[in-house]
Order: sequence, then structure tokens, then C-alpha cells
Amino acid sequence: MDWEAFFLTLRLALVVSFILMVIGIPVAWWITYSPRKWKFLVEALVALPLVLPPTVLGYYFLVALGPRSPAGRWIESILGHPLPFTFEGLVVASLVYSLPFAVQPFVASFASVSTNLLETSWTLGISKLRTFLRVTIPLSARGILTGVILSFAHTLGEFGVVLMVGGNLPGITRTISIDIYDQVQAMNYAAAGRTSLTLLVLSFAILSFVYAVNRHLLRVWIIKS
Amino acid sequence: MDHQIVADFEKRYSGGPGHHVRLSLPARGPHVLVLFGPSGSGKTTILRCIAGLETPDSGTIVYGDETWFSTTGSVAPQIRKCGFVPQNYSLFPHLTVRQNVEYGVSSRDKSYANEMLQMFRIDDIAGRLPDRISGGQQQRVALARALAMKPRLLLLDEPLSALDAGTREALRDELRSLLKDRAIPAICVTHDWSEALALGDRIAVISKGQILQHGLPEDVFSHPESPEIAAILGVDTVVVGRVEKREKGMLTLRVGSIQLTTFEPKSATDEYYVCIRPENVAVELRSPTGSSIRNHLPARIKEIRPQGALLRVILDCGFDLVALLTNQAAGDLQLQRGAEVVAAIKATAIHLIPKN
Repeated sequence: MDWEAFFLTLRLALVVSFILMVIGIPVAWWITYSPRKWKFLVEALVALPLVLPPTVLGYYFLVALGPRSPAGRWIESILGHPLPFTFEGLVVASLVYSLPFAVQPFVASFASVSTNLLETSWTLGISKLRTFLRVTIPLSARGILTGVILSFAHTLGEFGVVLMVGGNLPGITRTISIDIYDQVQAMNYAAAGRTSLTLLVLSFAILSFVYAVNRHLLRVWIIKS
Repeated sequence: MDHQIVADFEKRYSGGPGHHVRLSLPARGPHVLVLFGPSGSGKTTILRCIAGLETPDSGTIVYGDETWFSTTGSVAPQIRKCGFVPQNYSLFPHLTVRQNVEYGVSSRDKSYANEMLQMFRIDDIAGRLPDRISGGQQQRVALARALAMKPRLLLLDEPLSALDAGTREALRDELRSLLKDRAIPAICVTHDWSEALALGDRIAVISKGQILQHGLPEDVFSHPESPEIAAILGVDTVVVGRVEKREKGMLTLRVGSIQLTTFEPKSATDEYYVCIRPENVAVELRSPTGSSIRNHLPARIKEIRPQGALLRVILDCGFDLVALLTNQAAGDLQLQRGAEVVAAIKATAIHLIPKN
């Protein structure tokens, strides 16, 4: 078992799910409440990583953020190094790759909060933003938790995007799924089996937790019920 | 026109009926305007437009010297400060009763919110979540929450309709005295005529988004301007009666020169609206010698009008009393205009609503 790869993967998944919570909530808010007719285009864009092969996403990342593109050169001037084949590059690619797993549960839970409650809050003198923070967010706690955990679990298991954007640099971009692929290539089936089993058990535990919370079998401290 | 709330606006829906509303009420002091009409008549839309939750297509909504809505712009609901109590109360399910009441209150007004909790007798359940309290308690919490932010106008959407009959009557009296005490103008929507009479200083009868008649409750109920309005009101005889005698749970009321006997209602006051539904009035040719019916009123037939398979007989017995009879009964008695008869009304068929 490559513990370096294991902790790198964990760190990546934690960073990605945290950032997705921060940027996913405003995106989901906009999708839920915007009166714009063209918002279906944004919805489709957010859902795109669900259907696109990870290699396609990875390819565009390499092209768009590599040293040959203006965006890539701009990023390089800020960071001092190009984005591909670094941990930061992996984070950016994973954010897009796992975006629908966070945003879609957020949207579903925001939409299930009754507009009557929001309107009542407005008539009580509370602004739309504060109403969102005081009513929508607490009542969507379950959906937000689901989105964060699903994006965490999804990042944990990603392979194609990582391979394209990050390559296989131990301690920098070598995640568990890359490690498993390497082990199999090296005919080291026992090691690949152990790592696979770890990932399988971990993913199963995480998904069981999500479903248990959503079926009210588990109480989480942030969710009053 | 100083310190009046004046709403004169139009609201259209694609495919639906257009609403044209014109109403006014004093912006100061206890004054309750009841919007009365069947469901789907547009009452709630009117409240929502006044609260700022919906935008009319044209017209104006003015509160005193502030313009809340005109074609040039609309003031946000947060600024209007209307205490809006929606039909389903909309209590925040994740907040306790206390947190609900304190929701719109600034930190320096917390003691006022506390006062509301006590006044509405919900201080003992302050720590509970809304789904752990009864419907009557939920209604009190919703009212307390609306009043705690010291609203300039109270908007009540069917405030009692979600309650069972017993609780409804008790809370109706409570609500009435509360609106008087707090001296906040209110617009109250209802489709229940007893609620309309109990709460309203003035009544506006609404159908299909239009105000058909507007006036004092007794005038509107006793003199509907059209058959459509009469049908909406649903109760035909509403007169004001003064208490003459209370004895062993029975009440004798004087209506003009007539005395009526009925049960003493729970709420004690000197004047009541006496409400009699036409199907509860029987017509006799002369006073019977033995009868369980308490009220026998000498009357003259003013008018006989067919209403479907029945006849509407309007009797003059000091006030206009409407009776609904079958064709056969009217034929047997050979009723005709001008005939002297006796109107019989059981004590239990007289519905009393305290007049404020």
C-alpha cells in the first residue's frame, strides 16, 4: 500500500470538496432562483462532466492551461510554474470534474425549500441574501452535506483526468487510482488488490453514510430534525 | 386623504381573469378591512400585491405619504413592513417558537418579542419546534412573529381556516380583541362570513378580482347590492340585536321592536350580529299552541321569488327575514304577497357574532 498516494488522494479530495462547497453554493443559488431564460445552458454546462469522458476534460485542460495558451502563460506568471503536472493543476481539474456532484444536490435541496418561507422572511424585513443564509441553507443542510460528500468520494476515485493533467509524479500527482494502475502494469496484483479493497471499502462507507443521513437514520450535528 | 392606505391597481395573468382592485383604509388606529369572497376570487393576490410579494401591472399602492407601488417602481417587501400572516402560517420549521417570533426583530427589540410570547401565551412552548405544537398554537406563533416586528399594517390571509371549528371560534374572539388593542390597521382575507362579521370594521366583497360591494358589515350583509353578492355572502339575514336579558344560559335580544330568544354564546357583549340562514326559517299560518320552537314572529310576506326548485320568501317582521321553502309547502299554505303569517325560528338556528 502506497501511503503517500493514499494521503495525497485524501488531501486532494478534501481540498476539492471544500472549494466545491464554497463555489457550488452560489452557483446552485443562481441556478435555483435566477429568472433568466438561458439558465438551462448553465445547467447543461455544469452537468457536462457527468457525460464527457475524463480524457476529453483532461485534454482540454492541458490545452487551455498549458504553457502554450494565453491563460496558461498568465497563470504561470502568477504561480511561477505551469499548472499541468502539479497538485494545483490537479485541484483545478478535479473541481470541474466533480462540480455536478456538488451542484446538483445543492440545487435539488434549495428548490425543495418552500417559497412561502422565503417570502415570509422578506416580509419580516430580512434581505434576500440573509434569508438565503438563515432559511434556505439550514433547511438544505442535508443536501449540502450530500453534495460535499459525493464530490469528495468522486474525487477520491478519479483516474482519467488525473492521468491526463497530473501524470504520475509520486507525492505530487500520484493518486491511489494511478497507483493501482501502476501496480497492475507491473504485474503486482497483490498490492493492487490491497489498494483496490481499501478504496472499495472507503467508498462504500462514504456512500452508506450519505444514504443513511438522507433516510434520517443518522443524525448529524448540523441537521436538526 | 392623509394617512390612508390606498390601493388602486390592476393585475393580469395570462389566460386568467384580470384583477382590478380599488380599496382604502385608514393607516392609523384599529381598523380592520375584511376582503370577503369565494376561493379563487383573487383575495390572496390582493394581499400579496400590498405586501410587495407580487407586482401589479399598473396602478398605485400608497401608504400615507409613501408610494409603495407605481408604474415607475416598487418598494421591496422588506421596506414596507407589513406583518404578513400567510394561510399556512409558514413557520420556519428549523427554528423554535422563540426563534420564529424573534426572527424579524433587531437585538434591541428582543424584550418586545418576549412580551409577544407572553401575550400570546406561547412562552411555555418557546423551546419547541413548530411541528411539535398544535394548529392553534402555530397560528398564535405566526401572529406573534408578525406583530413582534411592529408592523405598520397587518395582512392576514385566512387566519383561522387551518383550525378546527372549536379552536377557530375561541381564536376569532381573541384575534378581534387583539386587533383592537394593538391599534394596527389590518386587511384580513376570509371566505367565512362569521369571521368576516366578527373581525371586520368594513367589508369588501370580492369576486373574480373585482370589489363588488364595500361598506359596513351589517349594511353589506343585509343589503347586498346584487343577487351575485347575496349568493357570495351565503347568509341572508344579518341584523344587529341588543341584549335585553340573560337567564340560565339563554339570551333575549331586541331587534327593533322584536324579541328573539337564543343560546348565550361564550363571548359576552351587549350587541351581536344576529345571523339567520334562510333554510332555518319556517313559515306558519298562525302561532301554534304547543311548539318547541322558541321564536314565533308575526310577519307579512313582502316578496316570493323562485330559486331553483325552491322559493325564496322575504318576510317583513320588523326587519327583512328570508325563508327558503319548497314549492309544495308554499302551495299547501297558499302563500302570496301581502299575506300575514308567522315566521318560526328555533333558538339553535340563530347564530350570534359579537359586534365590536
